[in-house]
Amino acid sequence: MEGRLLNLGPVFGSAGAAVASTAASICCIGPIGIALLGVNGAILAASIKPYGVYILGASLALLAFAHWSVRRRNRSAEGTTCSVRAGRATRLILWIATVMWFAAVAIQFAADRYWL
Amino acid sequence: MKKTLMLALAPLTLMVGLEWRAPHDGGYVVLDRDAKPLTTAFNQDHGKVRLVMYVSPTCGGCLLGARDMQQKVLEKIDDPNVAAYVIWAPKNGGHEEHVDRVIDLVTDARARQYWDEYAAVAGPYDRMFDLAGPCAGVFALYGPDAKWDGETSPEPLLWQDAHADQRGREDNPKFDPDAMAEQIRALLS
Repeated sequence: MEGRLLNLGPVFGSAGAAVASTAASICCIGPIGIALLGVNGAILAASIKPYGVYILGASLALLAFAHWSVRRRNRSAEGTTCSVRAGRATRLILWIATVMWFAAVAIQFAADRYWL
Repeated sequence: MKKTLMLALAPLTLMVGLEWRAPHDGGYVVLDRDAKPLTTAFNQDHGKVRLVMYVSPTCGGCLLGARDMQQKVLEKIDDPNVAAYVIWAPKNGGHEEHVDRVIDLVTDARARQYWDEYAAVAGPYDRMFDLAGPCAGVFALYGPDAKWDGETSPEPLLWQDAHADQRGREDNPKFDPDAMAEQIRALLS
């Protein structure tokens, strides 16, 4: 149970941070931002926008830890610890979070370059 | 799996909860090509300190600015000698249908809201403030003597740009509702 929580913590942490940074990046992309985030969501995203770089950095660290944690559990040597394969849902969420992180970086880059 | 699903759905539930808003009972005026309803109201309020919010209904920074002006300026300064005009502009992909969703951000009775259908205010304001980029997000303060003659508004005493951190607008005065409130109080005293 403790191991499972150890796995889920970084996964959901990184997913949350990736969502936040993506939201901060898309808050100003016109009607799309409002449609996706809603009025309050867009306001919230705009208010965290100045911290976008830090959120992305923290998110990357959490993602790296989550990936390492999942791989370590899958590859544990026989006799050292009980090898428990990370759940499919956990791995799926982790990869979605990773894709979202790259999307957030791309959107932020485009927003800075082209003033979206 | 069930727990994972519940954890994944939690942020979505929170977002839906945040989005829920009570229906508004206020309205807005659609501006014509001369922006007459706005300039008439502005000039009728001669003698008052006047705050113009030039914002887009589809821009997070503009919405944040409008909300902050309501909460940190208008709610804090309970003086009838203050008037506010919220001009929702067709910028950043904004259309009139978006105004209904954002109109409740400014609820002060001293504030009038407008939809700038023909960019009658947006065009001259963009030129006056030399605004780069697709967003509006300008908050301008006018003294009691200001008069709006013709197409272009008078020169504001103070203006702030909610997007002053963006490329091409770095030199514009930064958005600071507390400084705006301070300036209004100084003008009223």
